[in-house]
Amino acid sequence: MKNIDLDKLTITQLVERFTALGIEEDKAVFDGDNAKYRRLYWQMDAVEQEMKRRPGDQRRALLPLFDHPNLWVRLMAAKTTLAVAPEAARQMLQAIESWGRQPYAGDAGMCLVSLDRGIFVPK
Amino acid sequence: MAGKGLAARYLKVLQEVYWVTTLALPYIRAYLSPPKTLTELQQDVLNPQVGYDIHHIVEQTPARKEGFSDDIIDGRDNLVRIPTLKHWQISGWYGRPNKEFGGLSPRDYLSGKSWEERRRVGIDALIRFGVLKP
Repeated sequence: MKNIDLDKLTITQLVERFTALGIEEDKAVFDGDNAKYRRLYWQMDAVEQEMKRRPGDQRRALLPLFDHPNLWVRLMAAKTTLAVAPEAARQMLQAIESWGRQPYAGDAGMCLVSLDRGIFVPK
Repeated sequence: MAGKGLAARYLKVLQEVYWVTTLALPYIRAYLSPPKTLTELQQDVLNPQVGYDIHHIVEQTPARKEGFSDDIIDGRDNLVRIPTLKHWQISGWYGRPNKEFGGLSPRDYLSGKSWEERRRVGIDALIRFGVLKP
């Protein structure tokens, strides 16, 4: 996925890009391609930083992705909104873990462990 | 000609049935097996089976690079037998950058950490990926 000027995108477009990156990440995870995943991860991080930078911190715009059919997109949306909607995001992580589908459940569970132990403090 | 095509398709189906029932089935069966206790997983090391791998609770390569002794790395306490496909998923998680660790992979995050910290993460991963009973 090519790099683009994120500051020119609307919030809707940023959410679309976040979603597209999440779907690509899911494929990379399935293929065990961590090098590709790493590139996608930092592209998604750039989208998050751009949304955070916008007035009012626009990361809440990712909350509708909690209903996305792709579980990785839901997982990433939950992790990314922990700082702005902690209860809803945590519930999403707990739900993904309880469904038991791997590797989503494992990743969500490890995120909850990191939160509970104070290793991960969402900002 | 039609008979030849039919025969080729039949052979292909037979190959696929063989692949699923003989080669893939042990891996699938192992993947779907319920979580076990730590003692059970450690005892299973003595009974290698198709569909399973021997897994180091504390990852062996980084531990070796950082000077932990072979005795502790390959010791009975650090070895468990787990489903191969779960092994791949856990290893994948260790290698991916992760928001919880500020964009580091868990493997990089654990670099320089104590044996106890590595083991705690290793045990947590076994639980959360459905291998070890909580």
